Amino acid sequence: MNSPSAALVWEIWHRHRNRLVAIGVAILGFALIYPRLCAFYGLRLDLPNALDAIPESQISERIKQGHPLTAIAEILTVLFLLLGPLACMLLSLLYLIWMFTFAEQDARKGFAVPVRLFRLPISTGFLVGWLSVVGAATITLVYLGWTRLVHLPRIDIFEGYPSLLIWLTLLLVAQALVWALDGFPVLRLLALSGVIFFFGFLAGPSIHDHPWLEQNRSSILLALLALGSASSFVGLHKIRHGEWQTWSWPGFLRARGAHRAAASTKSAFKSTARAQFWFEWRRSGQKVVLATCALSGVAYLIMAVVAAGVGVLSEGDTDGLALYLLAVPIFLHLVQGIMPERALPMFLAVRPLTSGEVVMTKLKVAGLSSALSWLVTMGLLAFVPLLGNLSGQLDPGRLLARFEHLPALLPVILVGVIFLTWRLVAANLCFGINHRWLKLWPVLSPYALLILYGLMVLYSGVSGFRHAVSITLPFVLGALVVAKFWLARRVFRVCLKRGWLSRSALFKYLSVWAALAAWFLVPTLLFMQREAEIVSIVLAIILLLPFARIGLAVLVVNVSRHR
Amino acid sequence: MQLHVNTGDGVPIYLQIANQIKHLVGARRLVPGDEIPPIRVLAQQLVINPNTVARAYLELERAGVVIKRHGSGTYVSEQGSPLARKERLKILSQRIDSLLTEAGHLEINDEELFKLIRERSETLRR
Amino acid sequence: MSAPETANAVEIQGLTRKFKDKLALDNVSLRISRGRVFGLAGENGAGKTTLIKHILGLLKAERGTVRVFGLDPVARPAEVLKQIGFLSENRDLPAWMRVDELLRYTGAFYPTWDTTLAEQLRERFCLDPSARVKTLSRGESAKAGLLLALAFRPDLLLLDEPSSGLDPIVRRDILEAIIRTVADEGRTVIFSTHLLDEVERVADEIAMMFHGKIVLSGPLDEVKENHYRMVLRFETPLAVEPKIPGALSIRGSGQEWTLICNGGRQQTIEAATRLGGRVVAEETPSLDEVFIARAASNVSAPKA
Repeated sequence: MNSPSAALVWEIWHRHRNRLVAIGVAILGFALIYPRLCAFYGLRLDLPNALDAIPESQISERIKQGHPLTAIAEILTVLFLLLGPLACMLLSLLYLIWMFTFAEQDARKGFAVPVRLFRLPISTGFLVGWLSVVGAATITLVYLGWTRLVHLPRIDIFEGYPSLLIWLTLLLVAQALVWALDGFPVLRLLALSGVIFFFGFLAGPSIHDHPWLEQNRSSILLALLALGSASSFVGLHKIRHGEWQTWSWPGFLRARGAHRAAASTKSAFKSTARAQFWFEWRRSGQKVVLATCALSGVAYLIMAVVAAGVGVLSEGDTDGLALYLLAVPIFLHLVQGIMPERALPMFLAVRPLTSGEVVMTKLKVAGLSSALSWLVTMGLLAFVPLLGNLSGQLDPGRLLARFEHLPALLPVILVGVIFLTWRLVAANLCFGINHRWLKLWPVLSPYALLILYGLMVLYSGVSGFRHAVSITLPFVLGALVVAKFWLARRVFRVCLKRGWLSRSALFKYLSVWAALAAWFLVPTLLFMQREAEIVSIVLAIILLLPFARIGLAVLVVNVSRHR
Repeated sequence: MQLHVNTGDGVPIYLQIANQIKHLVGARRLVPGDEIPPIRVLAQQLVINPNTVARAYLELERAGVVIKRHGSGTYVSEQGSPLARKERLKILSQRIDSLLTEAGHLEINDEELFKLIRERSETLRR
Repeated sequence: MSAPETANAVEIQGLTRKFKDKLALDNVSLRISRGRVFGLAGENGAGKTTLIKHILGLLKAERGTVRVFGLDPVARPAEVLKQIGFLSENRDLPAWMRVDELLRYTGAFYPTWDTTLAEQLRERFCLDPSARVKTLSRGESAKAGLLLALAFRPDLLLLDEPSSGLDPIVRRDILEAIIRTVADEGRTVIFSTHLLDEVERVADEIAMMFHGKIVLSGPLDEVKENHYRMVLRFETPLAVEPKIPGALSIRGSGQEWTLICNGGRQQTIEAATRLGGRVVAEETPSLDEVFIARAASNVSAPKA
């Protein structure tokens, strides 16, 4: 290590080398395999709009024939094949940006730039400049790798989307925000979410509706680039020399905080379950709901400002806003589901608390956070039509006209959505603490299995193959259901015998499970009884409800507690 | 009652306490009838194990310096006074032994030593 | 569903534990009776924290048994943990909680939690109830942790390096709290430390650990009485250390040499005399000296 620059680069490389190698491998893998895969499945990549490749006529025919499950599998598979590489590109670039903000988890300050960097004999300008330059270079490299090596599908509505300038600006603005707003985590979150939304807006399809923005896009971005660099420097300089520490919230905000503290001479918790629920809620559940409010709220506000200026939002903008609002709770719960949780913290491990109680509390908290996040989202969605009109596919009025049963099914759909979001967190509890990348599997497994099924169906090599696959599907699902219940019985028995889970807790969970199953199965049987795939659909719903996993989660928590 | 405990002294802690109390009795800072703090209180004050204090008190009781009155605490015993003199002399003779040994090391004979003691005594009286 | 009244708070038999290649505990056996203050001394990495984690049930005994109040902490964690007040070395209290929330939350787990006692302790330790844990200084968070461990009057108080990194005032506060625990209710206290003068003041029994083995254990008085520090004076200055059997450590130069021995006093004196030395002083060493001497003698002796 001969120079500070080399040392810094080495540190970045060394800390993230696994993931950087994974990105490289992904690019090469996609470059080699992707065109062949698409040719194999008969998807054409040279279309101006790759989404046209979805065999719509085939799918609606299949629905008419009574195979809704197969239809869904096909749609998911095609979307996966088309958008998969794009999503990988997006994720890899976002990850790189996060990497170059150089923030670490600190016990006292939360996510912040590590103080040890400031003790090194290098100037602030050098640090900022070097991190920005190396970051920009890496992002350019990876970006070029994706766009030049991999034959990415084109989607005409996203034209202009993978623009390099947008990514570089995003890098510098993100660095600026993380460094300049170091001591203000809430403000930082709001600003970052606003920035991401704004950039998504700039890159998205609805930019065509705002000609002024479209023409001046590059200059806006360059201005932001310069602003970002300047802010990074100033921000880092201030952090280094402790200048933020003299700043404090104005008097009236502080007084409110003190009043709240004084008023919290609440009585003791009525039971350990309630105390544990409070703890988990404060530790993780609350954050998700607040993040939903922040991310969604900021997006809505930005669009409201735009609407105030323009009069009425265009259909593209309104669609974008609605889709963004729908994606926020799902994304947040997904992130929470795969966040690594260190083995039960010592503070909890020495309390007289059973592993079953730990798991059950997490489930309850996740349920509440899912419900509340969706409540917030629905609330904001209700106000979206105020800003503009939704396009044909998303307009509720037109949807209601097409599916006459929709009003009756709305509660089922709502609960279903809350349930699937909850599942993103709950399904993961049984997987260990160490391997973060493994955690994506339990969360996404039903979708992955559907895609696997779709891949098999789309494979048209052998003529009778598609038919054979559809016939065996119910049997495969049936076997999985049997395995699920068998495993659950064994696992719960062990947990009960060793006292890790109380009977009453298990009984409560069973009743919730049965209630959910009834809630989903009854309407399905009522409305879809004439479908040919009804058996498969019922079995799939049963498979989706986490059962054995919960018992396994109790086992895993117990093992991590007594190594 | 001000006591000090020194862990590196070479003398067990309970003995240090017992000796210091005997000192105090001998120097009339504790007179017969005075109450000695209960074991718990002294342990907390000195930050030492109550069992050590208990052992010190036992030692003092055995030496007859204090007496434990059932239910009302520990008090300096009446017989404290005559034994005090014996204790005082014993303590002094220990010091004299160390002094004599050291004088031997420094090669100062007895006469010179006694002369020195008289000189120092006169200086201190003035 | 409590175990029969056992005289021993903690009973450990033949406990062995390996972490990958390193032998953290080597056939450790200990018996700690109720109502005693037990000091566990050892250098960093000797295995004290590993032993404590076994008592808490955070580690499962690979070989050997661990019983706390007659129960196995791994099989019955809830019952055992209800009786143990633990202060960890890392003071890992949740950074986002306030002090009053900390008390309210922890209190919900212990049926014997005494709110008035908790309040008294909080005032005595001068902890601001509305302060967040992340703003507390090191000493304050140690006191907060100790408060949580004391407020429910546990039968066993388990402290892992309670004084590490703390200033003398806070250390004194912590020791006082320990003494008060023992004096008031005769509860059992186990604490691990490498500050041996604390052990000397406060412990009834001690054990010294070295490389995962117990090299010394027993009542403190006996340990101190069995060790002595002798100063030898030799007629002719010695160029090299005199070899005296029974001496744990020898230090010095020229004519005066200090050695720490245990037991076999007569033989040591005879050996010294044979080499031409005489005893000029004989004292009880401090525990620090005993520990260093023991550590040195363990290093020079071949590892079993």
